[in-house]
Amino acid sequence: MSGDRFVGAPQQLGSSRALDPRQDLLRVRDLSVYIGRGGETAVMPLQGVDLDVHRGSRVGLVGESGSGKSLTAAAILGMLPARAETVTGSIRLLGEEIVGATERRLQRLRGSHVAIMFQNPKASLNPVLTVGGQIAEVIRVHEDVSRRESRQRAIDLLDQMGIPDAKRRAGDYVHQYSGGMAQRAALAMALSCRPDLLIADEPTSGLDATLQQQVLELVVEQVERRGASLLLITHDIGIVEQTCDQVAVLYAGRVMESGTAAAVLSSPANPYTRELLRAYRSVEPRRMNTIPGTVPALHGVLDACPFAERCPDAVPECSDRLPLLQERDDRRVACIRV
Amino acid sequence: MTATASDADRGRVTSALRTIVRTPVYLAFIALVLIALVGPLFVRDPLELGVGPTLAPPSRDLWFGTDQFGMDIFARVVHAARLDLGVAFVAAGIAVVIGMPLGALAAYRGGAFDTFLLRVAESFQAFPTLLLAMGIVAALGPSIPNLILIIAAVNIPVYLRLTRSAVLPLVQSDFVLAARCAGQGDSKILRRHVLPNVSEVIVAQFSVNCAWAIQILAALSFIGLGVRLPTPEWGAMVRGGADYITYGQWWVALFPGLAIVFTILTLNQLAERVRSST
Repeated sequence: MSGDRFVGAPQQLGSSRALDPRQDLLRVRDLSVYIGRGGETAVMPLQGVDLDVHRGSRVGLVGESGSGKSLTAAAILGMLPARAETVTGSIRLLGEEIVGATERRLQRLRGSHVAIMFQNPKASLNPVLTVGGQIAEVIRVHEDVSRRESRQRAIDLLDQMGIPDAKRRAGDYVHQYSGGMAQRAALAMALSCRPDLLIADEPTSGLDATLQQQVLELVVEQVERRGASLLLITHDIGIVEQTCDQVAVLYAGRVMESGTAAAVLSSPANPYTRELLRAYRSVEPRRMNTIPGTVPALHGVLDACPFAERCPDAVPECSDRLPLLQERDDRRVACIRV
Repeated sequence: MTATASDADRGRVTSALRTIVRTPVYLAFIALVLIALVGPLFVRDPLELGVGPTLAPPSRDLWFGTDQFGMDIFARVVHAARLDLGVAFVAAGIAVVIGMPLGALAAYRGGAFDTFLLRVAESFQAFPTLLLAMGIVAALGPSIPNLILIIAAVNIPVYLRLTRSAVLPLVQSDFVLAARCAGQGDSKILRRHVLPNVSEVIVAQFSVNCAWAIQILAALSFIGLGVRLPTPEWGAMVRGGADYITYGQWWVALFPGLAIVFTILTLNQLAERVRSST
């Protein structure tokens, strides 16, 4: 099925508009989510998110808690909570519109074109089914294969994910797995139908430090080998630095800066990105740097830069209007001072 | 499966057998089922008159004595096991088959559907079970199929609410979310991912429910709304023998009564055991 998959050099995020639509794997434009029935009490956790993932690229989506990272992932899967009343904007996966798509179409896309792995691997596997059986079942949902063949493929996948004695372990239950192994199994399940895009939502946050590195390397290796793309959601900018070639910095439901990881992380243009990096890098000197304040609660439509209150570079004009994401040389930045 | 897996299976079976042999309540349950299934083959015809003198006390030949028609009480108690357990099992089974999917669907769908089903279940449960059963029997007439349907009907709300409350937390769980993210449909998720996780509660409830069903059946027969004499049924036999207790002929009512007590205790203990074993 994946024979004609185009595995090219990662495209720059900013230049996506000129791309041939056939190559657009994921294209999110002006995505907004409203929770509640509008008016004063509505919460608007996403307000105009723009995001691109091209074939073969690995994009890191970073931000603090409450910035809307996981909600963006849910929107891409068409799995927003039922109380999210209104979704506007556009999410195109391989040219197919996700916003407003029927459940039937979404079910066809999920798993086979876009798959996800979660933070807590043990909770994301069913306790009363064998690990191998669960993976085989996902394969049978999307492909017309026999029970026997799907089982064999599940075993092969577990083996490729580095689970020793995969044939026997496929018959085990998740409580018999360690945390690291369960995350490997979750990766096997996510990759079982050869998705074009893998979303990894904080895949290593539930693991201890020594395992984090192994699992990250495995995710990158497997995604690369299959010619798939990765959307890595994390609060840890260090993980993005190691794993991704593209980065999008999310704050208060808006993208503050996006571009190649090399450019953005070495010379951040947006003060928020800069402060985030300063907080991350300050572990080496003795002082711990933090960004004072917290992510604002998003009641109502933003009419000013959401970071203005916490920003060391803020000027009065920052509170006048919402800065839009604009192209600047090698990246896109939302800040009036750039 | 591989050789190692079948070895593991065999080990599991052996240890399961060992647990059964060492647990009195499992043995009692197995004994009950055996009595109901094959017991009637080894005893006299329960309707045979004049087996001994009427109202003969328990003896070496007639273990439980005879009743006012001279019928063998032991044979009747054994035959009644088949009827009582059978009715209970079928009735509870029907209640599970209808109540469980409805409850799961209510929890999974939520919204107005959930509220509607819940209100209907609550309005049924607002009446005392026996009173409700009496009302329906009076309306439909006391045949065995009717009794089964009535006992099933009064138990459906129990399963509906039980399943609903067990499924609610699972609907929010990560593995159900993961299954949806993998593109599995709702009915498949319910069948494969949600229901197997609530089976333990359901099995425990099934056992309790069989006990209830026997109680309801016996109670209905006792007040003359269920099975009528001479059909061997524990509640009806207790009713038939109740008048003779005051004359000293205690055995006519006592043995079927003991059968009811033993069965209900066993089924309740079994439920307790299932619930605490996992």
